[in-house]
Amino acid sequence: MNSARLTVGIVDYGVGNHTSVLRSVRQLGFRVRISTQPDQLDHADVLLLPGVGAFPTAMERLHATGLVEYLQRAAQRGRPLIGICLGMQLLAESSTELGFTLGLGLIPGAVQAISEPSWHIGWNSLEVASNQPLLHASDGEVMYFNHSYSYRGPEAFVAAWTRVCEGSQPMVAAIQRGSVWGLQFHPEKSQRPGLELLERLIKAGVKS
Amino acid sequence: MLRKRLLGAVIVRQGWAVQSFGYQRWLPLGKPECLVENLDRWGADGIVVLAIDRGNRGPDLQLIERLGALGLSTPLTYGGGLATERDAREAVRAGAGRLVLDTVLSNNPQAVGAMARAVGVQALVAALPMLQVKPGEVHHLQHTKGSKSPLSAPISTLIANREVSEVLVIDAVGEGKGKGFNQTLLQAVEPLSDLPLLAFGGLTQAEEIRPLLCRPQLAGVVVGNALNYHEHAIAQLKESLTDQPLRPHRKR
Repeated sequence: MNSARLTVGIVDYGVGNHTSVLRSVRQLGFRVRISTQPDQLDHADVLLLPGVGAFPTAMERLHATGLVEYLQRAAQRGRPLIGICLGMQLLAESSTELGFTLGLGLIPGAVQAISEPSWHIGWNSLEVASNQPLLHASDGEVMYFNHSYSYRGPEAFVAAWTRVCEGSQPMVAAIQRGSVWGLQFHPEKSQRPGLELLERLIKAGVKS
Repeated sequence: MLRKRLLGAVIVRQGWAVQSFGYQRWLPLGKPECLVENLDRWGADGIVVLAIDRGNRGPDLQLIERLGALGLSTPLTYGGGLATERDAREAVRAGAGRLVLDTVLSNNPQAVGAMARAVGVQALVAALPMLQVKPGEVHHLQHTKGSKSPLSAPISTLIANREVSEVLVIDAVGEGKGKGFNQTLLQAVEPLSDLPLLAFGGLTQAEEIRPLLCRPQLAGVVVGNALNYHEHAIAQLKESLTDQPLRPHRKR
């Protein structure tokens, strides 16, 4: 498959920085459209929902730009969608960050504060779930995380875990439901292992 | 397991990357883009860019955008001129993944909460330039006021309340001198909260970094000048510290 012919649509809802994601996707050889406009995003083979910031602000922006319904419809139609960091959390049903806020509801589960420790910042290794062949090449790879809230939901939707300490309770690192993927880490900031994983997900999304 | 981090720092003054000596003398090194690109290529665990002369001019958004345009695949943290919620939003929008707050902590600590709501607490790092004034007594250096004093109650409260996600403790005396980091400074900050700490200033050798990494609360060290003179400095430091829980060295 010639990756240069694929188009990734970065959903721009006015929160966070899309530049680094845009550059990374271009470096991988894909074409990129960055837009708030559904008619522009319709031309993308894969939708990418990045995000840095707080959950309520992000949902507010998604509602304000009319993108909530658009993303929900896109997921219902089986269009490939990848959420990164806060973008992954937005896929869930709700979050308690700065109060209760409904999410996109694309993957069952809720986003809650991390406890003990309260932060997960830095590089940590992935433990890929056994039923995720697409991620197997990334099992044990070290990715960059930066979050204080995390997804909790049915294990059936968890694609990868990570642990702060050996033997500690696992934390969700990636989720998946059909063609919708969520990555709690930043693949675009995880150097070669992250970019390789992102490339695999984009290509697989188009194939599926 | 969450790894401890070896971060590279680039100090920017008047638009140029400089080697800083105790916040008093500066030696030009070149374009910040070149140094940042090198750190990205060499496999730093993160890059911290500190524009130290922004004053009340706001963040250097053009610099952040230029750095963002490099297509870095290493986390980028920016500090300098960040005073308002709008500054924080614009700096993140320009390409910074995390923000280092310094002067605003003293001048307007109430602004930190608004910044957190805009960009998330996980994006905020408090910078505390500290110095030991006598045995057992540590002061906070406030550059803009040219004063030093015990850490103020509002800043201590802000850290205790976890309104930021990490604290960058800067050895204001050791900075640029390559004589190691004064651990007394960490001892003064550690009791304030369980926030992860980063240490910056005076670090050049693995022997100076190892005892810091052994401190449970320390999440990483920031190395500045020492990384600019050897192409493989990051790899060499990491190879000397394989007994520590750092991410194994891996070129980009």
